Amino acid sequence: MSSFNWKSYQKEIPDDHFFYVRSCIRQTFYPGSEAAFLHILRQVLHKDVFEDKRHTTCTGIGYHSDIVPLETLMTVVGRQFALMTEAGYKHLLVSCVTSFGIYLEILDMWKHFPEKLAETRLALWKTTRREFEVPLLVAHTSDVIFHFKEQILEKSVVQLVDPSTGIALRGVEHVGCHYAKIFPQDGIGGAEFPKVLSGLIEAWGGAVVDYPERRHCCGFGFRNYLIKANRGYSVSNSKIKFESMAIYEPDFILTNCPGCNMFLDRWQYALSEIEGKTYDKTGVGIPVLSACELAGLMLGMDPWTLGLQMHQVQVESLLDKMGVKYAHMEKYYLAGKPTVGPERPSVLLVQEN
Amino acid sequence: MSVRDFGYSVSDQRAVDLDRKMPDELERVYLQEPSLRNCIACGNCAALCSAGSFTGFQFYRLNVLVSRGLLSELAKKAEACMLCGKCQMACPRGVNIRHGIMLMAQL
Repeated sequence: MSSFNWKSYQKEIPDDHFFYVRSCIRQTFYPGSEAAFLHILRQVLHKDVFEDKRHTTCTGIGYHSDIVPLETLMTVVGRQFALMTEAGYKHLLVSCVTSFGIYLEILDMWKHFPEKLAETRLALWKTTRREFEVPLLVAHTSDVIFHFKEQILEKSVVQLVDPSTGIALRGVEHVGCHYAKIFPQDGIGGAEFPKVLSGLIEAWGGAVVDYPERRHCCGFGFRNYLIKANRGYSVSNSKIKFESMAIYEPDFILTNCPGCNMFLDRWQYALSEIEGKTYDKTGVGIPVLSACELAGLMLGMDPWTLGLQMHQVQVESLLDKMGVKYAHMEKYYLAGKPTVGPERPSVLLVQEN
Repeated sequence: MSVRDFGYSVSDQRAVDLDRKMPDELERVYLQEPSLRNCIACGNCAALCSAGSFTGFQFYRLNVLVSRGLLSELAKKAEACMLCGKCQMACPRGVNIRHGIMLMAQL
């Protein structure tokens, strides 16, 4: 078996012309994150990003939960590729780390079992009369943010530095398992030393926190969460991470996977309600941001336009440390009018301004 | 203290924490039979265990319980062993299983 060298972990990321596929979890729970990413690419970096409104879920969550058969998954993936081919694009840009892993897995499977590719082409033709070409390059949103990190820094209005003290903010990076643990050569830095998020924190002025459970799963684990009887297993996994990172007092957690973002955020709330404890000193929890949301903040986007109020752990503590200006009154505005905010948690504190 | 019941609970870690100090009696077991630490839980011992066919006794599982400090039923389980020694002939790590079991039965 050939061994990987460092060059194997340097991924080629396209500069322009992306066919974009969205994320189910990000769309549902953090829609501002996805909107911010598209805004940054189109309006700030002036890139060509195309998305077809007919594209669907990749069915990855169903696949990993043993509900969606492999053949169905391959045909759905083939259909996404067909939409990309019809639109004249060759670079697939994937919002979700689960989907990213799915696309890479299917492409790898087709490489080793060409008969499966032929079966998929036939199934897709019979069902939809569509044909497809496989993408030239598959990139994840965090890859693209990493690729353009210098341009984002040049246009940034804030950085990962406390402007009042000049001290770098301390960030925990959590890279989704399906980003590079399945196919290390398709992730920046591979599985052991993924650079995709730590590189962002360093480039944008922050300090990366190293801690023992840095590569531990966020706790999602598909069936571990989706089946309620197993959910304690999921939350216990997340607890291992929180306890491991808490002593280093991070200012924020940075993720590239919508699922990780969801669980590192929501489970802080669940753990606080079940066990009555939080993992920061002030009791507000450790804010969890996606790379897209952090890039949006750096570029001066309004936190409430970014949808940061939809996070379970409130982000004001981080905004204050970064020196981000925001109107607290407008946190729960909808279409310019105030709305009733969500019920307050009983343990996690919500910062009042 | 449980504040709210979501229908699931947080379970304690069951991973072996090598930094945690072991109970003194376990330290003594490992001191008297250091080869117990060589066990890789491959299951060879259990595969050919005559006693295991009738009682469900599996040495490697016993050793895992020891390494986790779960001692409550250890001595009772260890008593199922007939000390025939077939397991030692199959152990790829050369663990002195019989001596280990004798020590565990005394805990």
